[in-house]
Amino acid sequence: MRKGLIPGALLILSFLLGAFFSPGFAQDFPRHKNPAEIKEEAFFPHQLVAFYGEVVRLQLEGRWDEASSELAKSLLSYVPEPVRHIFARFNELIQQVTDKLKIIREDIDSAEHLLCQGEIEKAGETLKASWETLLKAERDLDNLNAAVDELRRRIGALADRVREKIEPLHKLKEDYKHKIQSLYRKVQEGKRLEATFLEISVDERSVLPGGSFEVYGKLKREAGGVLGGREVDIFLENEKLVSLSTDEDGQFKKRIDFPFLYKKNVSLFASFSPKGEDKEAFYPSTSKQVLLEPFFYTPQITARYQKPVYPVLPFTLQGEIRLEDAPLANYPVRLQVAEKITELSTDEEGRFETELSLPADGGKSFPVTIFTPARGIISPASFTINIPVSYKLPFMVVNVPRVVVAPFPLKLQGEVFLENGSMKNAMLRVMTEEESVTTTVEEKSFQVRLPFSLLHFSGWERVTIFLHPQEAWVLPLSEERKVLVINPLTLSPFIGLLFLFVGVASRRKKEVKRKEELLEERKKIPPERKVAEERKLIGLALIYSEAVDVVASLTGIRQAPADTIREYLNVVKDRLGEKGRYFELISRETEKFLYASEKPPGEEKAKQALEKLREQKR
Amino acid sequence: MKKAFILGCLLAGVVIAFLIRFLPPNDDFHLDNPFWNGLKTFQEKTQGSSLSYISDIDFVAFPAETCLFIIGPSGSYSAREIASIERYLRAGGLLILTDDFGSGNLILEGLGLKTRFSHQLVIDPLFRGKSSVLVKSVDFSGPLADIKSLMFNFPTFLQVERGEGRVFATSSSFSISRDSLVQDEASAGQEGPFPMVAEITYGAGKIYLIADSSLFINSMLGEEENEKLLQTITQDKKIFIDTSHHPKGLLAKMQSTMIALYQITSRFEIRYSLFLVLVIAVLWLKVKKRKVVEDEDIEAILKRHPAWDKNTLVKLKKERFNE
Repeated sequence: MRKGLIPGALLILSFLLGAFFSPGFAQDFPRHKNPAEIKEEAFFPHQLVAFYGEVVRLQLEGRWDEASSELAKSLLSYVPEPVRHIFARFNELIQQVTDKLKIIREDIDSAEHLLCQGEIEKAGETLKASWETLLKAERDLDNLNAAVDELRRRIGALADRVREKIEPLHKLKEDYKHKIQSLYRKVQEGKRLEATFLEISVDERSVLPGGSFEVYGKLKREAGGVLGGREVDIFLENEKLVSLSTDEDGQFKKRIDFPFLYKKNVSLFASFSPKGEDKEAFYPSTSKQVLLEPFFYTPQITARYQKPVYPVLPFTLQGEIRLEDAPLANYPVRLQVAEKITELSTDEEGRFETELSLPADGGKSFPVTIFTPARGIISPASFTINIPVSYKLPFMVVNVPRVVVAPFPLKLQGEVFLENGSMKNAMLRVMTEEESVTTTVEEKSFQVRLPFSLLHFSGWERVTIFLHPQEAWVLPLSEERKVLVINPLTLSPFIGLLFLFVGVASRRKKEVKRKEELLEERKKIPPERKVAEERKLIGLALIYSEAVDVVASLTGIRQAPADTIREYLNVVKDRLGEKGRYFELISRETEKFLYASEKPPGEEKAKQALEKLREQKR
Repeated sequence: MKKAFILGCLLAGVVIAFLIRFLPPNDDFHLDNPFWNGLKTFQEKTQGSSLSYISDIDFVAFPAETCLFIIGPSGSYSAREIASIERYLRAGGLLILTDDFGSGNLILEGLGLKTRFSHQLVIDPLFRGKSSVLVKSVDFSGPLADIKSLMFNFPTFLQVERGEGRVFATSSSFSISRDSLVQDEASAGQEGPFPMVAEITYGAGKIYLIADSSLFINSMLGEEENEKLLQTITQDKKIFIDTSHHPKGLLAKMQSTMIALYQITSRFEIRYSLFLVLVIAVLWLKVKKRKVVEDEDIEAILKRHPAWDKNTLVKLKKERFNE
């Protein structure tokens, strides 16, 4: 038994488990592979070399931050473990060189500017610091070359291409070196230009948007005296407003229109840039800033609406625009709801009122923005109000029968309501696990027939009723009910089995009961009677038994247990003499009774023969 | 031996049934699959609700506050399903479609868009994991500007129609596309950078296209900043995941079959019919056994008295017990 059990189980298990976990990608490209099982590819450093070339290119163009940002990405590139630390050191050195070259470039620019400004000493100090940084950069570049040498031992001749890529950095360093030396020579020569000074004033700092103000000033020389006939630029909020010429006294003066700027402070300054021959004689100059204070009013916007606000449904938005506690009458107002803009104006009391509607997909709250444009001394203003969006909750009364008998359909009837409103053409979907019916609710009531085929099993069925109103302001609603489905077709085999079970069970019960009764009766009978009854019970066999007793008493030969009827007859027949034929008759009839056909044996004949045996004995 | 083999097979059947019931699924993108190719971690992190029918998205009351993931779609999308997605998007929903070589283009086509998944493999020999098919995206913009790196697994790239969408993530300039896994000159395609993540505005809603279906599977979610991307694009939105278009393996099919079988057998008629058949069978077997025992009694008598007639003994026995 055990011999076959384990192989059988193993065979089926291995087959089925193999089928479950068999990999299978039928497509040209797999959608993915297990990263843990993907084999590590060899390192292809050509791309990395190209990448460093790009970083160096950005450095040469002076795009230092971009170069650093690009270099930082190298950490995301794949480099195998044995050479990773060399590349990490290489990247670090390139970054250090980048930082230092950037500082040197800034120092050179600064020194040039200082020289222009006549700040000879400061320029000299900057150049000294720059020179020190350059020496450090040189050291870093040497280290970079050493790193390339190390790389050459690991990746071979390809490292030479890396060296080629970083070679321009050496050239750049040399360029900077020459530049610093050149500037330092200028510092030592002590060559300088004459400084200029520019003054600026306004007649009044407080200015109205759209109004005008008078600006005046003077251009002076360092050596004393003024510069006449020179062009001075006037800047308002860092934007050039106008160019003015100085007179013989070096003075300039003009009334200028103030733009519609609604800011607390507006900066104004003048600038002198030498042109032509002046470039070799004078430094440029900029005046101090003058802060103008525009004078304007900002309107206060207030708005209110009556709750609740539903999507799509119109609602009234009321508002008021005031200026310094006074109503702003007949003033234009713009309202923006999503992308729709509504334009209106205030009444005599500065109020406005309009009907708006929020879009259908408004969510739970929606912003409405109110704008007022600028007008003279009135600045523009805006106000955003977040309107909470409300939704109406529908009610549904559904009459669903508790029981449905297949194939008759389930008839649902119901009504939908909406407090303070009505719904039109709401979609109603009735669903079970297998069936779905969609209908439209006209007016209030609806009626749905959901079919249950004869293939549907009996049992509790969940029926979901989903109401989807067309109106954006009404929320959807769903209800669940349970219905008992009775299907006579599917139930019939079960009922048949039930009858069979009841039949078998009752028959068995009867049998058990009858046997128990018989056993009870048997228990009541005394043992001696039981033997007699047993004998009576066998009929002709009893006659034979009594005949055997009689024969035994007549012949003195008792029937041995192993003797058959015929054997005993043969033994005693001769001894019985005349009586032998009666015993023979009884024996044959008994044999017939026991072994012969179904015909009733000659029991009466046997009885008579037994009597004859007994009589002769007497 | 034969009997034992049959019993062994039956035993194996029972064990298999238990395995089917209790073994976690190993299908691609299955939400309960804890292995490398499943989405169990994704599901645990997002607490997303599975959609067995994509049209169920119609029942979402506020689409603008939700997010629908279609990850690695397979098979076709019906017009009804496309209409459901369209309604969802127009009502302000956010669709995140991650695909590479699947049927994502059918959705885009159904929505009337011209942007496509290229269905070409992107590899990157420099910005990658340990293999060039584990491509890293290193350039980001827009809402993804805070992300430094993403890692893809056998990705494709997006062909974003001009003016239709905005690209937020690209592969490196070292990446290249291929038509086949065989690396030869004939299969070499275009050179990067390639659009990997893009956004398309559709009605009041948005579509995020990600050129790899595997970005969020268990083995890839923890790579680079893939999880950060998930958080960035989903924010606090309620998440729905379309599971109706995931390919099903044998185990999942068997599990579905088992569930279907369970559902059928739990029906009133089947359940109680089986019970009755069982009871009747037990009773029948009991009667048969008793009959055998009784026959054995007669056999014992015949052994002692070989000359006696069996029929007579049976007859006698019947008369004796009034059977």
